[in-house]
Amino acid sequence: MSLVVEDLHVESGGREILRGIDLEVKKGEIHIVIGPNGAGKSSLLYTIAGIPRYIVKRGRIILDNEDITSLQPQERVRKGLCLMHQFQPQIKTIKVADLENVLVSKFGTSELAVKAREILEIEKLRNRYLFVNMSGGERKRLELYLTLLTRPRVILLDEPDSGVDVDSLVKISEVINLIIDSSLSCILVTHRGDIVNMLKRVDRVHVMCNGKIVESDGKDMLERVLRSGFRKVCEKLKEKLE
Amino acid sequence: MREAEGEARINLYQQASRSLVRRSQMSREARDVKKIAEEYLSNLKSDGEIREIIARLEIPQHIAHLEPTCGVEETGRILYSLVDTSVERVSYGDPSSIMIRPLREVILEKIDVENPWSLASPDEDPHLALIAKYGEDRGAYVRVRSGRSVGPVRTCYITRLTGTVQLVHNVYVVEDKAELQVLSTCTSSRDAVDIYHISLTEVILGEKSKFTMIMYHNWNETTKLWSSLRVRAGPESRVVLVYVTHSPVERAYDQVVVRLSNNASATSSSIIYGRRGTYRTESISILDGREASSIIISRMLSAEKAKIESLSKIIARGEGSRGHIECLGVPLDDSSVITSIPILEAHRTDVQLSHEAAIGRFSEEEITYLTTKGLNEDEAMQLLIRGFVSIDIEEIPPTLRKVVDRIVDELVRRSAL
Repeated sequence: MSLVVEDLHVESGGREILRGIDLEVKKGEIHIVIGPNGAGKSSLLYTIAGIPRYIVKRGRIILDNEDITSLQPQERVRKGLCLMHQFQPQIKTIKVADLENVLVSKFGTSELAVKAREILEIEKLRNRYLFVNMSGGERKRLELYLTLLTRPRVILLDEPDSGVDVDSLVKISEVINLIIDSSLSCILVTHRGDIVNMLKRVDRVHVMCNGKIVESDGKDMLERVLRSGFRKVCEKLKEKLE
Repeated sequence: MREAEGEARINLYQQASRSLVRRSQMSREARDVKKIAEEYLSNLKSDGEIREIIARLEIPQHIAHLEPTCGVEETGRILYSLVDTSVERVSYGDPSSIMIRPLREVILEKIDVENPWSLASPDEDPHLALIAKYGEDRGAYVRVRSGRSVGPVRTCYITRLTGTVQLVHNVYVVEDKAELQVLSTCTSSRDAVDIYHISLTEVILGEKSKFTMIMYHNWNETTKLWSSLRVRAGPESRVVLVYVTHSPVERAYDQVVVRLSNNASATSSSIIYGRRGTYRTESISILDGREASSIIISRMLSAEKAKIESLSKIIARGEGSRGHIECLGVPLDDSSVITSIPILEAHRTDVQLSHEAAIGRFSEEEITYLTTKGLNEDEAMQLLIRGFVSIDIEEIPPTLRKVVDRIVDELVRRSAL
């Protein structure tokens, strides 16, 4: 399944936060999006996922040749697009097992989800309330698993590596490698390069600054940018705009 | 054979209840209770409502003989049921483990003179006075023998006739190291209007005993309800109470008072889905004993102009006693009102008391999160409501757990309508 983003302009809270994004993720490709805080990386994923507070002012989101720009989040999930959130709400009234049961009955099971469940050690979390009093690693592992339960064909991973312990990072990267093996399309937003180095393959890296993609290239670019910092790349954009 | 004996006993009991001669056979203790009640009621002549209630009680009630259904499947083999104002059925369990008899018989035969009216007094409240005067005819006495485990005992209170005033007084005695599970369901037919259910249940627990009770109220919307549950928990005993009401009523008042001895503990939960009526619950735990502990959990959902008031109170007097109150309310529309009153009262420096109270709709963030996992807004809301009312008490035995789950299903279904 492919995902195409065309000239995407987005507002949130009365402010323009994405200013003309173009992106194409072909079937089975994994793209990395990096950039400084406030560059619009997470906003890009939330917009693609259809979260209502991100208002598309211009442009289109196309999933396998179908324009999904106006669809509700749940309709996008049903079409095979799912977001792994960076921050999850603590839901004191819903147990992990309850949501797991609902998602399994709605979407069925998949080999990938079954494997992920074991690797991410979900059984231990089953009787706990959703994200309540969980460590950073537990939250990310659980969120990744719940995302996979929707049987996505395009998966949006928002900073799966932030705030997690080393052991959890290993487990999460193992599951992302399974996602790569399963030929799912994937956009992964990250601040750091650690997780990227643990992945089997990266097809494209995009650098975002100030609501725009300023540079796109192969994996090598990631090392270069992380060595020199985002400042240089973002200044280039500034110069261009001026 | 035992069933035939039971039938015969009920017939005898019903005949006796119609006779004034019976009064002279009553124990002195019971007569005293009646005297207190009568005196108390006579002081309330100005209260039109009380006079109205008494007047209704003089109306001869038709006795219905249909098989009772309480809206949930029967789970227990031991059953005591009350249809309108007549004892419908009493099943006796294994007498070496349990005794179930109409309370009146127990008083008449002086089987237990200590426990009835040991946790409540007729001069506390007009409703209790009415129960003292009329309710013993229509209540159960249940006693579980020492070391035995019994349950679930199922009690049913059904009203099918317009204008019925159902007065009930139950006494449960759980001897040392014994366990009793009770499923109590109350319901009224759709056709019956102007119903009044008034009940008192006294529970006396011995040392190291355990008592679990699910109380399920499913009345019609013309029902007025007044109910009081009093528990005295002996040393190292355990009390688990779950109270659920999810049908519209005209007025409901429910009171639970648990008094705990040394190392005794209680979890008292109430789930109210209020619609179109007024609901008041009071849950009070009195930690008299050393290291006694109590948790009071209250969940309220309101809609359609309902007014719900929930008062939860823990009084800590015992050395090292601990208590926690958790009151959460969700208004489902703007026409209803929820009031939550948590009260903590410490009488010592070494007690630990805490409370958490919150009222508010489910957050937009929670609903949005669930929609990004493929649920539509209605499904997300239902999952949140289900979670909200699914009070997690692992100790509820599987048979009762199934009933609670079914009740929760029904509640979620109704909230989605």
